[in-house]
Amino acid sequence: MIEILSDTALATVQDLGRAGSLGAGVGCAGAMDDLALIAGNLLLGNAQGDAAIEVQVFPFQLRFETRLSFALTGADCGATLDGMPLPPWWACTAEAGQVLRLGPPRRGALQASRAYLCLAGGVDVPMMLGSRSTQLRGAFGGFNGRALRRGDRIAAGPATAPLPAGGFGLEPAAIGLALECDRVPALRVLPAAEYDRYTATSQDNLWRAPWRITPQSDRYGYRLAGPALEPLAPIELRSHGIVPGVIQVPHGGQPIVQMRDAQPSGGYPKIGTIIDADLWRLGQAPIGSRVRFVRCSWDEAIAAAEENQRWIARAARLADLYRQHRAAA
Amino acid sequence: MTVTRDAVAAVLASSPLNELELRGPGVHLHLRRSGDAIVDVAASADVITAPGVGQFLLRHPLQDSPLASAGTRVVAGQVIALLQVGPLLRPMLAPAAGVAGAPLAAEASLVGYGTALLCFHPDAGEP
Amino acid sequence: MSTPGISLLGSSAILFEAPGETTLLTQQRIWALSREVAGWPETGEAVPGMNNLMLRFARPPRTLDALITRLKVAWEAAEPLPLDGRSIELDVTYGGEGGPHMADVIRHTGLGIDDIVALHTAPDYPVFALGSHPGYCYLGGMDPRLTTPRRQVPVLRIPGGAVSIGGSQTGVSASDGPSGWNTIGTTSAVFFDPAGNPPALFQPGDILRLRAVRVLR
Repeated sequence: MIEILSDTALATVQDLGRAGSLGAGVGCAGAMDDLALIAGNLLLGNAQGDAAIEVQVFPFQLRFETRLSFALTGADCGATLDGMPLPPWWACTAEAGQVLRLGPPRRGALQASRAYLCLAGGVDVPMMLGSRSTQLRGAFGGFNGRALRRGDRIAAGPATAPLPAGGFGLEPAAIGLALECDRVPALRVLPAAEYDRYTATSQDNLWRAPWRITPQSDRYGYRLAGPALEPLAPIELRSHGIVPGVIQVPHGGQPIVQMRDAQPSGGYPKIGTIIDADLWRLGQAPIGSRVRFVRCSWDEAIAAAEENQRWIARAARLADLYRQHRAAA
Repeated sequence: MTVTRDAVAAVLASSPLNELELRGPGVHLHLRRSGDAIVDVAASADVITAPGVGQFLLRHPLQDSPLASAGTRVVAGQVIALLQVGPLLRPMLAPAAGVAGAPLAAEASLVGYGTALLCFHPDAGEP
Repeated sequence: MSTPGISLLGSSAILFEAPGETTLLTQQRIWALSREVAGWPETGEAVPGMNNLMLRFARPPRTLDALITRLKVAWEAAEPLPLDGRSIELDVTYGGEGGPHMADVIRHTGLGIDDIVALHTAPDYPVFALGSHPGYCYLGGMDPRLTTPRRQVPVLRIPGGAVSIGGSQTGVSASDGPSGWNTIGTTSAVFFDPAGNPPALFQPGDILRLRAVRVLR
């Protein structure tokens, strides 16, 4: 059991998202950085998709009411446990009464914006429509269908594997799976239905311009700033299903990338879609930073998904081995 | 015969050895190669050794500064260095409250079980 | 366009768009296609939209050609599937505080409020699909004379039960949230219960009727 000590309007319980209820109008939700969530769970010996707390406003503080192993991944927030510094991407065990504090994400080339707190046994909230993720629109899932508040007490499921004394960590995914274009973080994109209905200049700009992430960017969508993307003629569409990662172009030509809390349908023209394997990169990109879109093929998208899976499988194997080896020692 | 510490350090520096320890009545000199330098493994310091094979890291891969640079005060159980094996990061923990000492191996060097990695100066008396 | 549009939504879904005007008959073929596609091994979920269908992958297939061919063949074979839906009537208060954009619809259509209410309450609205937010229905059948473009600046928060017009479509908001549509009225109904089975009040194929209980000028 943990108790939230901060008023943290935007910290929510998330897992890998809700599949299968799009047809009832229910979006995916889920962790903005799925690899960080999975990594935290792997360190603890949890199931990969166990629920965790996604923190995006800092500082964030909580108290452990009972002895509990936990993992922190995602942004390096200079975390401390009763004042003792913890490395980022780290799992260890807190004693009852200890206070965990996350500060603002540290600046640097690999600065990220969201931290994930996984608990041994997973965050124990009810499964709603196949997921524990918080669905803010409609107010269900997660912790009572809302963001966490001071005084909330959150339980962990039954722990599985014991954690070695001193804990251990994983190399962050941003290092093992680094991707850049002209020294700017890159996101691979497949052209979408309306790509061919944009001017050649706009198509060029999509791939060549650095896109700045504006402050109007959150779990629903990232509004990007760059050269205006102009259609050859006005485009009116019928409402249709969309996915997180779709790059929509509303009037005005400044693109919006729909993110995890996006609604499951839309009608703005779509110039492309960030492949699933790269969406975590955007989910961690800080406000004000720039990203590049890199055109990719279907085969490259599949290869990228497989590369992520290999990274996860290797981390899982080594983490399991280490826990077992240390438990036997 | 009298040998100075610097003379021994010069011998070690020009030798293929990594470390040299002289023990005698009233004498204890323990020197180790650290990159291009020769450092003292002070008799009053604990030496933290590698718990296995891996790459020795004073810095976390996400960070610019060391987890605990020499002279930093740390608490018992604090992570002061890392040993990286593939994507796995094993901790080197402060054995007690004290002060982190000088590194004895180079950043990112490959080390084996038992390799001395850094000095640690525990607080006097009971922690 | 006379042939279906088939496009990618990244690596996670494929979008099938039927050609031609938006009609109930085409939507009935979309429902048939959705039922067929739902049984395919690569399908995670088949999601009908307005005369279109999104196939969300369970896991993306290695190659797309075979899947695209199968989609085209299934569309050609799809016979209209008239879903045997229920008929549900909702009481609507038009205009006033609950219909803050009525004036914009009046201005754009050139119609008076009584004509707008009469035209808006006349049809049987078939539920074509659900989307946007939990329990929200996309309806067919709005009188084209009511067509009003989406708002240039979306409204940050419209309440659940808001009855609105966006382009040539109309709908009823199922919960509080942002919207780019023009809100002309309000209704009180519970559209979604996550613990319900099914969780949404309406299903594709249901018929929605709107009854004006008050018109606030």
